[in-house]
Amino acid sequence: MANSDAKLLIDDPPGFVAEAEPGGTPEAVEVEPEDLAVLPYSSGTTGLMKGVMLTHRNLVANIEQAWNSMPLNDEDVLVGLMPFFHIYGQTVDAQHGVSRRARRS
Amino acid sequence: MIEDFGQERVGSPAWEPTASELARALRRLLRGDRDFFESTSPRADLLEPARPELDRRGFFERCWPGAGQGQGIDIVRLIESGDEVIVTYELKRPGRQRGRGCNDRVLTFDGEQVKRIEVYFGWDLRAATCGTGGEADLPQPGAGHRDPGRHPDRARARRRGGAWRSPGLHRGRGRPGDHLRRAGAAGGCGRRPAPVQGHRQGGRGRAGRAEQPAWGIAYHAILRAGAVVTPMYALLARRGDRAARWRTPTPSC
Repeated sequence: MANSDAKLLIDDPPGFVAEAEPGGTPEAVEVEPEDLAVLPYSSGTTGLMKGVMLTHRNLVANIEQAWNSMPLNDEDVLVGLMPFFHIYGQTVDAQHGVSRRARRS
Repeated sequence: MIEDFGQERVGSPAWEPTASELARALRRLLRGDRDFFESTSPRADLLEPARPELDRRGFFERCWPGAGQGQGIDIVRLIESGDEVIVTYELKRPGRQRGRGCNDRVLTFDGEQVKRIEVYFGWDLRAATCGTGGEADLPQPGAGHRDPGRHPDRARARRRGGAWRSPGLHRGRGRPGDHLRRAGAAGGCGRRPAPVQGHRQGGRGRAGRAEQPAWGIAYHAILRAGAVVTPMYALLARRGDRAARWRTPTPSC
Protein backbone atom coordinates (compact mmCIF):
# COMPACT_ATOMS: atom_id res chain seq x y z
CA MET A 1 0.00 0.00 0.00
CA ALA A 2 3.00 2.24 -0.13
CA ASN A 3 1.86 3.52 -3.49
CA SER A 4 -1.23 5.04 -1.87
CA ASP A 5 1.11 7.91 -0.98
CA ALA A 6 -0.57 8.26 2.39
CA LYS A 7 1.07 10.90 4.56
CA LEU A 8 -0.86 10.07 7.68
CA LEU A 9 -1.39 6.71 9.31
CA ILE A 10 -4.18 6.48 11.82
CA ASP A 11 -3.70 3.26 13.68
CA ASP A 12 -4.50 3.22 17.36
CA PRO A 13 -7.09 5.97 17.36
CA PRO A 14 -7.84 6.62 21.04
CA GLY A 15 -5.27 9.40 21.11
CA PHE A 16 -6.54 11.81 18.56
CA VAL A 17 -10.19 10.80 18.64
CA ALA A 18 -10.52 10.84 22.40
CA GLU A 19 -8.74 14.17 22.65
CA ALA A 20 -10.56 15.82 19.80
CA GLU A 21 -13.35 17.97 21.11
CA PRO A 22 -16.22 19.39 19.16
CA GLY A 23 -16.03 23.09 18.65
CA GLY A 24 -15.75 25.66 15.92
CA THR A 25 -16.57 25.20 12.30
CA PRO A 26 -14.41 23.14 10.01
CA GLU A 27 -12.68 24.99 7.27
CA ALA A 28 -14.77 24.86 4.12
CA VAL A 29 -13.39 22.55 1.50
CA GLU A 30 -14.70 22.45 -2.03
CA VAL A 31 -15.07 18.96 -3.36
CA GLU A 32 -16.17 18.06 -6.86
CA PRO A 33 -18.16 14.89 -7.55
CA GLU A 34 -15.31 13.50 -9.61
CA ASP A 35 -12.68 14.14 -6.95
CA LEU A 36 -11.04 11.09 -5.51
CA ALA A 37 -12.50 10.26 -2.10
CA VAL A 38 -11.39 6.79 -1.12
CA LEU A 39 -8.61 4.53 -2.24
CA PRO A 40 -9.49 1.09 -0.91
CA TYR A 41 -7.21 -1.75 -1.86
CA SER A 42 -8.92 -4.72 -3.39
CA SER A 43 -7.54 -7.93 -4.77
CA GLY A 44 -10.51 -8.47 -7.01
CA THR A 45 -10.47 -12.01 -5.59
CA THR A 46 -7.14 -12.85 -7.18
CA GLY A 47 -3.68 -11.35 -7.13
CA LEU A 48 -2.38 -8.61 -4.92
CA MET A 49 -4.31 -5.68 -3.61
CA LYS A 50 -4.63 -2.77 -6.01
CA GLY A 51 -5.88 0.69 -5.24
CA VAL A 52 -9.42 1.31 -6.47
CA MET A 53 -10.08 4.97 -7.20
CA LEU A 54 -13.53 5.82 -5.88
CA THR A 55 -14.86 9.32 -6.26
CA HIS A 56 -17.34 11.20 -4.13
CA ARG A 57 -19.90 10.55 -6.84
CA ASN A 58 -19.24 6.82 -6.55
CA LEU A 59 -19.86 6.87 -2.81
CA VAL A 60 -23.00 8.97 -3.03
CA ALA A 61 -24.39 6.80 -5.80
CA ASN A 62 -23.84 3.68 -3.75
CA ILE A 63 -25.46 5.26 -0.70
CA GLU A 64 -28.48 6.23 -2.78
CA GLN A 65 -28.67 2.71 -4.14
CA ALA A 66 -28.64 1.36 -0.62
CA TRP A 67 -31.31 3.86 0.36
CA ASN A 68 -33.60 2.62 -2.40
CA SER A 69 -33.39 -0.93 -1.22
CA MET A 70 -33.11 -0.27 2.50
CA PRO A 71 -34.71 3.00 3.60
CA LEU A 72 -33.51 4.12 7.02
CA ASN A 73 -34.43 6.98 9.29
CA ASP A 74 -33.19 8.44 12.54
CA GLU A 75 -35.11 5.91 14.58
CA ASP A 76 -33.38 2.92 13.04
CA VAL A 77 -30.46 1.02 14.45
CA LEU A 78 -28.40 -0.70 11.80
CA VAL A 79 -26.44 -3.81 12.66
CA GLY A 80 -23.46 -3.75 10.34
CA LEU A 81 -21.42 -6.91 10.07
CA MET A 82 -19.12 -6.04 7.22
CA PRO A 83 -15.66 -4.69 8.08
CA PHE A 84 -15.15 -1.02 7.42
CA PHE A 85 -12.17 -1.50 5.18
CA HIS A 86 -14.51 -3.32 2.81
CA ILE A 87 -16.41 -1.01 0.47
CA TYR A 88 -19.73 -2.53 1.47
CA GLY A 89 -18.95 -1.87 5.13
CA GLN A 90 -17.99 1.71 4.29
CA THR A 91 -20.92 2.70 2.16
CA VAL A 92 -23.89 0.48 2.89
CA ASP A 93 -23.17 -0.24 6.54
CA ALA A 94 -21.57 2.97 7.74
CA GLN A 95 -22.23 5.92 5.46
CA HIS A 96 -25.73 4.95 4.52
CA GLY A 97 -26.73 4.90 8.17
CA VAL A 98 -24.87 8.08 9.01
CA SER A 99 -26.43 9.92 6.07
CA ARG A 100 -29.88 9.07 7.42
CA ARG A 101 -28.96 9.74 11.03
CA ALA A 102 -29.53 6.13 11.88
CA ARG A 103 -27.45 4.47 14.54
CA ARG A 104 -25.07 1.67 13.82
CA SER A 105 -24.10 -1.11 16.13
CA MET B 1 0.69 -19.23 -35.49
CA ILE B 2 -1.51 -21.41 -33.45
CA GLU B 3 -1.72 -24.16 -36.04
CA ASP B 4 1.88 -24.94 -35.18
CA PHE B 5 0.99 -25.72 -31.61
CA GLY B 6 -0.23 -29.20 -32.29
CA GLN B 7 1.71 -32.21 -33.39
CA GLU B 8 0.31 -31.82 -36.87
CA ARG B 9 -0.88 -28.85 -38.80
CA VAL B 10 -4.50 -28.17 -38.43
CA GLY B 11 -6.85 -26.28 -40.63
CA SER B 12 -6.14 -22.62 -41.29
CA PRO B 13 -7.27 -19.90 -41.33
CA ALA B 14 -10.57 -20.93 -39.70
CA TRP B 15 -9.03 -23.24 -37.15
CA GLU B 16 -11.63 -24.48 -34.73
CA PRO B 17 -9.82 -26.89 -32.45
CA THR B 18 -11.53 -29.56 -30.49
CA ALA B 19 -10.92 -29.66 -26.76
CA SER B 20 -8.34 -32.39 -27.14
CA GLU B 21 -6.52 -30.48 -29.87
CA LEU B 22 -6.49 -27.39 -27.75
CA ALA B 23 -5.25 -29.33 -24.75
CA ARG B 24 -2.44 -30.81 -26.78
CA ALA B 25 -1.47 -27.41 -28.07
CA LEU B 26 -1.52 -25.90 -24.61
CA ARG B 27 0.47 -28.78 -23.20
CA ARG B 28 3.17 -28.07 -25.73
CA LEU B 29 3.03 -24.38 -25.04
CA LEU B 30 3.12 -24.71 -21.26
CA ARG B 31 6.07 -27.05 -21.31
CA GLY B 32 7.95 -23.82 -21.66
CA ASP B 33 9.85 -24.14 -24.88
CA ARG B 34 11.06 -20.56 -25.05
CA ASP B 35 12.05 -20.63 -28.70
CA PHE B 36 8.78 -22.21 -29.65
CA PHE B 37 6.91 -19.70 -27.59
CA GLU B 38 8.73 -16.72 -29.04
CA SER B 39 8.18 -17.98 -32.57
CA THR B 40 4.47 -18.46 -32.07
CA SER B 41 3.57 -15.63 -29.72
CA PRO B 42 6.12 -12.88 -30.26
CA ARG B 43 3.79 -10.11 -29.21
CA ALA B 44 2.01 -11.79 -26.32
CA ASP B 45 1.82 -9.85 -23.09
CA LEU B 46 2.93 -11.96 -20.16
CA LEU B 47 1.37 -11.02 -16.89
CA GLU B 48 1.63 -12.24 -13.36
CA PRO B 49 -0.75 -9.97 -11.48
CA ALA B 50 1.11 -10.50 -8.21
CA ARG B 51 4.32 -9.25 -9.85
CA PRO B 52 3.32 -6.48 -12.19
CA GLU B 53 6.91 -5.30 -12.46
CA LEU B 54 8.05 -8.35 -14.41
CA ASP B 55 9.04 -7.81 -18.00
CA ARG B 56 9.09 -10.55 -20.59
CA ARG B 57 12.53 -11.80 -19.58
CA GLY B 58 11.70 -11.63 -15.91
CA PHE B 59 8.50 -13.51 -16.50
CA PHE B 60 10.40 -16.44 -17.96
CA GLU B 61 13.03 -16.38 -15.24
CA ARG B 62 10.58 -16.17 -12.39
CA CYS B 63 7.48 -17.84 -13.69
CA TRP B 64 8.79 -20.35 -16.19
CA PRO B 65 11.96 -21.57 -14.48
CA GLY B 66 11.60 -25.05 -15.89
CA ALA B 67 11.38 -23.89 -19.44
CA GLY B 68 13.34 -26.11 -21.76
CA GLN B 69 14.21 -28.63 -19.04
CA GLY B 70 11.79 -31.31 -20.04
CA GLN B 71 8.98 -30.37 -17.74
CA GLY B 72 5.53 -31.54 -18.57
CA ILE B 73 2.10 -30.68 -17.40
CA ASP B 74 -1.13 -32.39 -16.55
CA ILE B 75 -4.13 -30.35 -17.50
CA VAL B 76 -6.70 -30.46 -14.71
CA ARG B 77 -9.22 -28.08 -16.16
CA LEU B 78 -9.76 -26.42 -19.49
CA ILE B 79 -12.44 -23.84 -20.11
CA GLU B 80 -13.00 -21.86 -23.29
CA SER B 81 -14.77 -18.55 -22.86
CA GLY B 82 -14.99 -16.30 -25.87
CA ASP B 83 -11.47 -15.43 -26.95
CA GLU B 84 -10.04 -16.70 -23.66
CA VAL B 85 -8.93 -20.12 -22.57
CA ILE B 86 -8.61 -20.83 -18.86
CA VAL B 87 -6.38 -23.73 -18.05
CA THR B 88 -5.52 -25.23 -14.68
CA TYR B 89 -2.50 -27.47 -14.76
CA GLU B 90 -0.01 -29.27 -12.59
CA LEU B 91 3.67 -29.24 -13.41
CA LYS B 92 5.70 -32.41 -13.75
CA ARG B 93 9.45 -32.07 -13.63
CA PRO B 94 11.85 -34.87 -14.36
CA GLY B 95 13.15 -36.50 -11.20
CA ARG B 96 11.14 -34.30 -8.92
CA GLN B 97 8.11 -35.00 -6.88
CA ARG B 98 5.02 -33.07 -7.52
CA GLY B 99 3.95 -30.80 -4.78
CA ARG B 100 3.69 -27.24 -5.96
CA GLY B 101 0.00 -27.68 -6.51
CA CYS B 102 -1.88 -26.42 -9.49
CA ASN B 103 -1.53 -23.15 -11.33
CA ASP B 104 -3.89 -21.29 -13.60
CA ARG B 105 -3.22 -19.53 -16.83
CA VAL B 106 -5.61 -17.42 -18.77
CA LEU B 107 -4.70 -17.21 -22.42
CA THR B 108 -6.30 -14.55 -24.55
CA PHE B 109 -6.31 -15.06 -28.27
CA ASP B 110 -6.45 -12.52 -31.05
CA GLY B 111 -7.47 -14.67 -33.93
CA GLU B 112 -4.86 -17.37 -34.01
CA GLN B 113 -2.24 -15.45 -32.08
CA VAL B 114 -1.83 -15.61 -28.35
CA LYS B 115 -2.33 -12.02 -27.27
CA ARG B 116 -1.89 -12.36 -23.55
CA ILE B 117 -1.02 -14.92 -20.92
CA GLU B 118 -1.86 -14.37 -17.29
CA VAL B 119 -0.53 -16.77 -14.72
CA TYR B 120 -1.89 -17.35 -11.24
CA PHE B 121 0.25 -19.39 -8.92
CA GLY B 122 -0.46 -21.21 -5.77
CA TRP B 123 -3.93 -22.58 -6.09
CA ASP B 124 -3.47 -25.81 -4.20
CA LEU B 125 -6.14 -27.57 -6.12
CA ARG B 126 -4.93 -30.93 -4.96
CA ALA B 127 -5.65 -30.05 -1.35
CA ALA B 128 -9.10 -28.97 -2.36
CA THR B 129 -10.38 -31.49 -4.81
CA CYS B 130 -7.72 -33.64 -6.36
CA GLY B 131 -5.63 -36.19 -4.51
CA THR B 132 -5.42 -36.27 -0.73
CA GLY B 133 -7.19 -33.76 1.40
CA GLY B 134 -10.46 -32.94 -0.24
CA GLU B 135 -13.19 -30.59 0.71
CA ALA B 136 -13.42 -31.94 4.24
CA ASP B 137 -10.04 -30.38 4.93
CA LEU B 138 -11.08 -26.90 3.85
CA PRO B 139 -12.14 -24.30 6.42
CA GLN B 140 -15.85 -24.42 6.97
CA PRO B 141 -17.62 -21.16 7.81
CA GLY B 142 -18.69 -20.98 11.42
CA ALA B 143 -17.25 -24.30 12.36
CA GLY B 144 -14.04 -23.00 13.90
CA HIS B 145 -10.67 -24.13 12.70
CA ARG B 146 -8.05 -26.33 14.24
CA ASP B 147 -5.27 -24.23 12.80
CA PRO B 148 -5.43 -20.48 13.52
CA GLY B 149 -3.29 -19.85 10.47
CA ARG B 150 -6.18 -20.94 8.29
CA HIS B 151 -8.80 -18.92 10.06
CA PRO B 152 -10.14 -16.21 7.74
CA ASP B 153 -9.87 -13.70 10.57
CA ARG B 154 -6.38 -14.77 11.53
CA ALA B 155 -5.22 -11.63 13.26
CA ARG B 156 -8.15 -11.54 15.63
CA ALA B 157 -9.06 -15.17 16.08
CA ARG B 158 -9.32 -16.33 19.67
CA ARG B 159 -9.36 -19.87 20.95
CA ARG B 160 -12.69 -20.77 22.41
CA GLY B 161 -14.33 -24.12 22.91
CA GLY B 162 -11.42 -26.03 21.44
CA ALA B 163 -11.42 -24.13 18.15
CA TRP B 164 -10.25 -20.79 16.80
CA ARG B 165 -13.12 -18.39 16.35
CA SER B 166 -13.68 -14.74 15.53
CA PRO B 167 -14.17 -12.43 18.48
CA GLY B 168 -17.51 -10.81 19.01
CA LEU B 169 -18.30 -7.33 17.80
CA HIS B 170 -16.17 -4.69 19.38
CA ARG B 171 -18.05 -2.55 21.84
CA GLY B 172 -16.91 0.95 21.18
CA ARG B 173 -17.35 3.91 23.46
CA GLY B 174 -19.03 7.11 22.60
CA ARG B 175 -22.51 8.44 22.32
CA PRO B 176 -24.72 8.01 19.30
CA GLY B 177 -24.97 11.25 17.41
CA ASP B 178 -21.52 12.32 18.47
CA HIS B 179 -20.02 10.82 15.39
CA LEU B 180 -19.97 13.67 12.92
CA ARG B 181 -19.18 16.31 15.50
CA ARG B 182 -16.13 14.39 16.56
CA ALA B 183 -15.22 13.83 12.94
CA GLY B 184 -15.31 17.57 12.40
CA ALA B 185 -13.18 18.08 15.47
CA ALA B 186 -10.64 15.52 14.42
CA GLY B 187 -10.64 17.05 10.95
CA GLY B 188 -9.27 20.32 12.12
CA CYS B 189 -11.67 22.40 14.20
CA GLY B 190 -11.20 20.91 17.64
CA ARG B 191 -10.01 22.96 20.56
CA ARG B 192 -7.14 20.61 21.11
CA PRO B 193 -4.57 19.88 18.46
CA ALA B 194 -5.05 16.52 16.88
CA PRO B 195 -2.73 14.59 14.61
CA VAL B 196 -5.17 14.77 11.74
CA GLN B 197 -5.16 18.53 11.91
CA GLY B 198 -3.13 19.97 9.13
CA HIS B 199 -4.29 17.21 6.89
CA ARG B 200 -5.39 19.25 3.96
CA GLN B 201 -7.19 18.89 0.72
CA GLY B 202 -5.46 16.59 -1.68
CA GLY B 203 -3.61 14.74 1.06
CA ARG B 204 -3.90 11.07 1.80
CA GLY B 205 -4.68 9.39 5.08
CA ARG B 206 -5.00 5.79 6.04
CA ALA B 207 -7.56 4.59 8.53
CA GLY B 208 -6.21 1.50 10.14
CA ARG B 209 -8.37 0.10 12.89
CA ALA B 210 -11.54 -1.75 12.14
CA GLU B 211 -14.95 -1.98 13.70
CA GLN B 212 -14.48 0.86 16.14
CA PRO B 213 -16.37 4.14 16.31
CA ALA B 214 -13.06 5.90 16.01
CA TRP B 215 -12.62 4.42 12.57
CA GLY B 216 -15.69 6.21 11.29
CA ILE B 217 -14.57 9.43 12.91
CA ALA B 218 -11.16 9.22 11.32
CA TYR B 219 -12.70 8.30 8.00
CA HIS B 220 -15.03 11.27 7.91
CA ALA B 221 -12.40 13.58 9.34
CA ILE B 222 -10.10 12.80 6.44
CA LEU B 223 -12.91 13.34 3.95
CA ARG B 224 -13.95 16.50 5.78
CA ALA B 225 -10.46 17.82 5.31
CA GLY B 226 -10.78 17.18 1.60
CA ALA B 227 -8.20 14.43 1.65
CA VAL B 228 -8.37 10.85 0.42
CA VAL B 229 -8.95 7.86 2.67
CA THR B 230 -7.08 4.64 2.22
CA PRO B 231 -8.86 2.12 4.45
CA MET B 232 -6.48 -0.50 5.68
CA TYR B 233 -7.18 -4.17 5.90
CA ALA B 234 -7.57 -5.24 9.51
CA LEU B 235 -5.16 -8.15 9.08
CA LEU B 236 -2.24 -5.87 8.43
CA ALA B 237 0.46 -6.33 11.03
CA ARG B 238 2.50 -3.61 12.67
CA ARG B 239 6.23 -3.51 12.90
CA GLY B 240 8.41 -1.41 15.07
CA ASP B 241 8.50 1.34 12.50
CA ARG B 242 4.72 1.20 12.31
CA ALA B 243 4.87 0.41 8.64
CA ALA B 244 2.25 -2.01 7.52
CA ARG B 245 3.08 -5.25 5.82
CA TRP B 246 1.24 -8.30 4.79
CA ARG B 247 1.14 -11.00 7.41
CA THR B 248 -0.15 -13.66 5.09
CA PRO B 249 2.24 -15.05 2.50
CA THR B 250 1.47 -14.12 -1.07
CA PRO B 251 1.26 -17.06 -3.44
CA SER B 252 3.68 -16.41 -6.21
CA CYS B 253 6.11 -18.09 -8.48
